[in-house]
Order: sequence, then structure tokens, then C-alpha cells
Amino acid sequence: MNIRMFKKGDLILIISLVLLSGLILAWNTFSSSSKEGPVTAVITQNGTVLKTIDLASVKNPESLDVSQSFHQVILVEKGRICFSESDCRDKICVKSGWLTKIGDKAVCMPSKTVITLVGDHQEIDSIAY
Amino acid sequence: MKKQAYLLISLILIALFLLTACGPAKPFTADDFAMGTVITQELYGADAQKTSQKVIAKIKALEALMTINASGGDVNRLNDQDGNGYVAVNPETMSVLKSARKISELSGGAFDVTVGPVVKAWGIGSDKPQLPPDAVLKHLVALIDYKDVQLDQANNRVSLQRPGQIVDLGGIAKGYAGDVAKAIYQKNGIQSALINLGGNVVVLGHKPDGSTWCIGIQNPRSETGEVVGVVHVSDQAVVTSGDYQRYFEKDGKRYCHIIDTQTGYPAESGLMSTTIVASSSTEADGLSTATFVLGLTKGLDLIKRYGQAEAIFITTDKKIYVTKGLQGNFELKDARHEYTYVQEG
Amino acid sequence: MNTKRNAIIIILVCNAILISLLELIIPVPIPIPGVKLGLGNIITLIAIVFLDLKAVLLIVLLRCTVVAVLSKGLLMMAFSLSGGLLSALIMWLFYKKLAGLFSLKGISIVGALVHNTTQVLVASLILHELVVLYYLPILLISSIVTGFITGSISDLTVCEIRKRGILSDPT
Repeated sequence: MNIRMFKKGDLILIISLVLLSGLILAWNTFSSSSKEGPVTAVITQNGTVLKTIDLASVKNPESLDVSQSFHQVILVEKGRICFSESDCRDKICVKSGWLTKIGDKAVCMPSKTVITLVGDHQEIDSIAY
Repeated sequence: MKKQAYLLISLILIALFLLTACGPAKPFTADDFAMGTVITQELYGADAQKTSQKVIAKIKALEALMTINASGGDVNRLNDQDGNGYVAVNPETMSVLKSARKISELSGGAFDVTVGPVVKAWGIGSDKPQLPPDAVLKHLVALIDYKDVQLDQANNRVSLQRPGQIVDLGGIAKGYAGDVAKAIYQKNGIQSALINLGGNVVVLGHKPDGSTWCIGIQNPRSETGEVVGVVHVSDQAVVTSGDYQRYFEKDGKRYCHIIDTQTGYPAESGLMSTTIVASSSTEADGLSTATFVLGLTKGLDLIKRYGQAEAIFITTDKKIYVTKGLQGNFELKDARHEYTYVQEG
Repeated sequence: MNTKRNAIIIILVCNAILISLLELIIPVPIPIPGVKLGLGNIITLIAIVFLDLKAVLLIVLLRCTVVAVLSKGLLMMAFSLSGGLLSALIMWLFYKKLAGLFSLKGISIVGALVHNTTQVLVASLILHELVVLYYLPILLISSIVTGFITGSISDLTVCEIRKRGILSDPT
């Protein structure tokens, strides 16, 4: 038996994983394809909402200091938002780059800060009148 | 070969499980009619349907206790015994009257459940609204005084001091029902739910995906369903009072259903609507009425003194004032650019 | 025999810590929490082949604790421990029960998959945000790649160890 070869289970595993990820990817893009119109950025820290920003209505670029356990700055421009500075260890949040589309997300684990872009159509759960 | 077949099937099952487990959970929704309004519930979780039915049953029981439109309830028996000593009431009625008392004291009587005689005279929201004569109103306003509702908490008894006085819990009962509904959700293991009682919104927890609930604030001068903004909340009540909710027009003038307890006339304080965001739905309900009567400056002051609420005030000159603690969670959705957003404080 | 077993465990733990620390220097091209090469997995796989379950879990426990203390902090320790132990356990089960179907590469992919998803699940809990679904496709693919790399390395190593008779499979 040559151990360097694949076994049947390996192939089944790899193929089903690829199929599964393709499926989820397709489903994710499908469910977000109907998401058009104004984009809102929701910034949460520790599960509580710090700020929500209608990205279309941003006129001048703005820096938001969200430092808590870490020094961290979020940069907002018209139509896009990103983590611009962070002194967390791996800087995954900063590497995530600009978020522009509905469904985009950037996460900073160490500081428990999340930016999520949500669309308008799912905005309102109920109306107070 | 058999083993492989098993494996393949289990992999497919895992895949399906992952897909369904991560998909957005569908809420159970129910619309019911109680307390003279539509009550919409949106619940996530195993016992959603049963729990929603429990909530509606409870709300109907509360309605029977607190209505003034049918006989036999606590409030009606209290009103029948005006100036005639104590009436035994349910702990729930006592609880509402206690909260009402708190908001009345805090607002200097701008919110007052003894506004009943004046409300009855106007009949706004009923079949026959009318403009009562000045002299009549003057006489009826003299009957408004929350201090005349004596609460004997030790024995669950209440009395109305003067003959002719009428307690009307219309400005706070729906709020209380919201708090009760939330407690029922929690008791039944529901972690995520929303209830809208004729415009009073109460949410429990976050949405299942962890995001906050987005509650629209009705545009006071547009058709129902059009919003001027959205607040993002979790575990809170969002309660609005507005001049557009119930009103009647006579000779081109709009008379809204919220009565100024000082004058006996519909409140004209320069506000079109007030929205209160607070953890107590009962108190938020009272506060929204009180601030609507008080107007912008005194209303903001009341919110500050209450300390546990945030507010959105929309003035008749189309400015939207949002208190500090809510500014991060409020989004202006003013499609036609009618309104000016003012960050207060 | 016990002394030999202990010695092997210590050697493997040291190797695992060293490899894991080395890995920190290698930059990850994809900015996603939970995605990494997982070179420590190589040692875990070797341990699974030649040692008993208790020894495997001990090695993972020591490796995760030391690496977390040295590099990441306590919060991150909770992550890597939960992911590391669970994936070791599942790889063990796969190796013992389904070795006829899966090579070490396949088992390693399964381990990477469990490790990554557990971490992101724990992250979701801490963040109060469901970030799993959003990242799942990338996690799956990256698990295949990293699992294949570490699996191949362990395959070669295990082969070499057997050939030279350094260690033998438990009977």
C-alpha cells in the first residue's frame, strides 16, 4: 500500500467540501444579489452597537476612534468604510481593507469590534407609530 | 462499498445540517386584535406559537381589567366608586397605577390618568368627537389630579377621592402589556422576540443573528408605514406618541387625542411626535404622552430627570431632536429631505 | 516503557511548540480570523499514529497552552484549546475507525476543518455575531489547502519514522 496516495475517502471529502463551499458561496451571493440601494455600516463592540452610518450620506472622510482595550481607528468615506489603524496583534481587521458591498464584514477579534454592511430592505423590523 | 455509502450519506447530511443551521431562522409571526388595536408578534424559538398565544390571552385578560369601555374590570369598578372609598384591584392594575403615579409625579402632572372626564368630553377616537364648550372643560379640568388616586398597596386597594373623577389608563396600559409580553417570552425560554402593540414596540434580546432590531419611527405627516428614521435597539421598548394617531378636524383645525392636563384642550406644544426608548415599556408609554404635552424644552428636561430613557422629538417646524445616548443608534431616513436632524446635548 | 513514552511525549511537545512558534512568523495571506497553516497539526498526527489518545490530548493541551501564553494571551488560549482538543479528538476517531477510507491527508483536512470552524464558532459567541456563515466557504477551502499541506508532511514523516524503526505502531 502506498501511503502517499489518496484514498477514496479523501477524494470524497475534498470533492464534497469544494461542492459545499461552492454551494454556500452561491447561496451567499444569491441572497445578497437582491440587496441593492443604500448601504448602512453597523459598528458593534462587545455585541453592542456603537454607531450606524448611512454610507451614502457621508460627505467628508471621517475618522472614528473606537479605542477600548486597543487603540483602534475606523475610517469612513462616501460609500466605504474600513479599519484604518489598530494595535491588535495580527491586524486582521486592517488587512480586511475597504468594505463597500452589503454583506461585507470586517472583524477584530482581540477588540471584539465588528463592522457589518447592511442593506436597506432588511432595515426595518417594525414601526413605532 | 457499504462503508463508503454510509460516509457519503453522512457527509451530505452534515452539509445539509450546516446549511439549515446557519440559514436565517424564520420567525413565527402572529397578528391579533386586542386593546382596540392590532398586535403583531414576531418570535424566534421552539415554543414560539404557543408562547404567542399565551401572550395574547394575557393581554386580553389585562384589557378586561383596565378598559373603561366594558363593565366589570378593575378600572371600571374604581370609576363607579368615585368618591366612595376603596375598591379592591388586581396586583397588575396596582402595578400600572404605581408606574402611572411615578410618571405623573416626575412630569408634574403632564401625564395624568385622571384625565378621563376630559377625554370623555372630547370623544376623540370615538364615533362622535366634539368640541366641548369652554365652561365645561374648565369644570372638568378641575377634576384632573393624579394625587386623588389613593393607592393602598398593602391591601391591593385603590380609591378615587372625588365624585366625577375618571381614571383612564389608555396612555399606559398598552405599555404595560408590552412589558408583560416580554416577561412571558422570557419565562418560556424565548430569547428573541418583537411585539408591536398598536405602535408600541417592545423587543426582547437581539435578533437571532446577533444583530440589533431596527425600529422605524413613523413620519408624522406621511401615510402610515413611511418612516423618518430608524433606531437600532435590543431589549428595549420604543414608544411613540403623536398628533397624527387619533384626531378629528373641525373648521380646518386638527384636534389630536392627547389632552393637555392644564388646559383640557388637545396638546399644542409644538411637537408632532415624541418617541421614547427605554427598558420599561410601561414608563416609556407614560413618558411619551407626558413629553408630548410638555413640549420640546420641558420634555427634554423630563427625559434627563428620568435618567433611563432616550428620546426622539419631532417638532411642528420639522426638526428632529435626538438625545445623546441614541445618536449612535439613530439613522435619518428622510427620503424627501423635509426634516432637519438636531443632535441634542 | 513508560519512560520511553514520556520521552516521546516531551520530544513531540517541544517540536509542536517550536513549529507553532515558527508559524507565527509566516504571514497569512487571507485576513480572516481562524485561518492559519496549523503546522502544530503535524505533530498531533504523528502522535495519533504512534501513541494513545491520552498522550495525544496531553501534547495538544501543552502545545496550545505554552504557545498561547508566549504569544497570544488568555482569550486566545480559550480559542486554540477548544479548537485544538476537538480536532485532535476527531482526527483520532477518524484514524482509528476509518483508516481504511482516509489517508493521513484526509484526516488532516478533517482536523483543520474542525479546528478552524470551532475557532470561528467560539469567536461568534464572544462577538455576539454570527460570523460563521460569512466565512464558511473560505474556511472550507483553506482547510483543504492547509490540511493537505500538513497531512502530506506528516505522511512523509510517519513513513520515515516507520522505515527507520524509531517508533512502531501500537498493537
